[in-house]
Amino acid sequence: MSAALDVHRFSAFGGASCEVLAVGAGADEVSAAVAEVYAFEAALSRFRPDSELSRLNAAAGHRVVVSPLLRALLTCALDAFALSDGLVNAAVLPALRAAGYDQTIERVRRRLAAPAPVHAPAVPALDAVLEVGDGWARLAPGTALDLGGVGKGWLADALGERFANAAVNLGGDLRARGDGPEGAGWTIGLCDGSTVAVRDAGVATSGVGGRRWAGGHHLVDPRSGRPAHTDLAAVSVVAADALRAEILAKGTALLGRVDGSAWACARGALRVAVAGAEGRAA
Amino acid sequence: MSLSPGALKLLGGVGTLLVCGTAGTVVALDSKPDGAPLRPPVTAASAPGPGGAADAPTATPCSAAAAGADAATSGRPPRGAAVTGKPDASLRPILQRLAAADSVERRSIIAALPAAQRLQVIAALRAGAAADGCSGPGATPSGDRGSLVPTVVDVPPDSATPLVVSSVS
Repeated sequence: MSAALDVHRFSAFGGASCEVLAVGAGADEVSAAVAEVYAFEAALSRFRPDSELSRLNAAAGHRVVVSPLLRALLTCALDAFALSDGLVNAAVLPALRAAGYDQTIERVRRRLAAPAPVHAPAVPALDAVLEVGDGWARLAPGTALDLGGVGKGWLADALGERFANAAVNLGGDLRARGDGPEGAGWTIGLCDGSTVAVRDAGVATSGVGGRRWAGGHHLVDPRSGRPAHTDLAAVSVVAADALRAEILAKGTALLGRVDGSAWACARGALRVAVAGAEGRAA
Repeated sequence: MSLSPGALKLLGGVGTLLVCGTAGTVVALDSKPDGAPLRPPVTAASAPGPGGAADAPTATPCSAAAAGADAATSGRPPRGAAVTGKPDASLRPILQRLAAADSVERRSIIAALPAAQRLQVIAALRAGAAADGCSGPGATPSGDRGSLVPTVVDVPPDSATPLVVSSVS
């Protein structure tokens, strides 16, 4: 007999579909996790001028006191930059804005015309412009961070780890713990249409779909400073945790079909699924 | 009043020592002005390309060997460097209580906190568990679940509808 599965679906991170699926957890525990997603968004959204991240970006050039949460995320961003050989670079924000993603995705999509082309700024190496100390951080002048992908991966891990048997999905960044409701793992659909059963693992999907608008999409290649030209529409990666899966999925999407999968496997991916530009398995 | 050439040379030397000594002390106290770049920016042309990215793995996440760890572990800002803002003093007593509590009490203490504060406490605990402030197996608030080995198994096509779909958001 399978245990009762509680499912709580909600929207966060600018309209992303999120869900907490838990076996044997109390409603209070699930509600607490959902509340933390919204608290996280309030603290680290780049679209909220009063968020801690916005304050750090606005104070570029100065040392700023940072909370344990922001410090953890900044450290993760540096780790992501190193693991991905610079492909996952939180300093991409000015380039993201130049590409047209300068407001929430709903507002960007409501524009009647594509924004006028803006010169793509060079994306600096994150470890050259971000300094993190004990309780403080400093960004180099003229730089700004977007912690979107790294943040969702970190949070999925932090929330998923507190449950004995659950899957926490934050807009495609997912952390599964335990054996799932049937005891055979959590069944997860990947971007190529395949399904895997995972235990105690992370899954993430990245690509040029999802957040698109007239004239652009949100996957900016830090090597060019422009929305990526890739032959992959989407990449799903299974890894030890959601943060690593997110980093490797984004890097693979940027590298493309020929180099991407081997690159991710060499960095700890347990499974890589890719979908071509037509949305089918590639 | 007129001074002899020797006295003028002596005064000039003392003045030079004062000016240079003061400037040197200022530089020593704050060797990196707030407005200066930390390191020269990397242009798109010098950023790693696909060829470079396909090289052998260099680092794992959350390890001290990761690039940037020198900055991440460099400790407090140097003397004379202004830091904007104040740390949240309310977290310290909570963390002290958690340090003295067993796993059941820790979960109870954490559950009673408002969501925003709970996140901060969890971030601090995870940072302590992982040593480098990122993630890592066993970095749970209760710390009682240990390290788990991730597994992934293919599910035959058409055998079941997945419980969750991971898609681009």
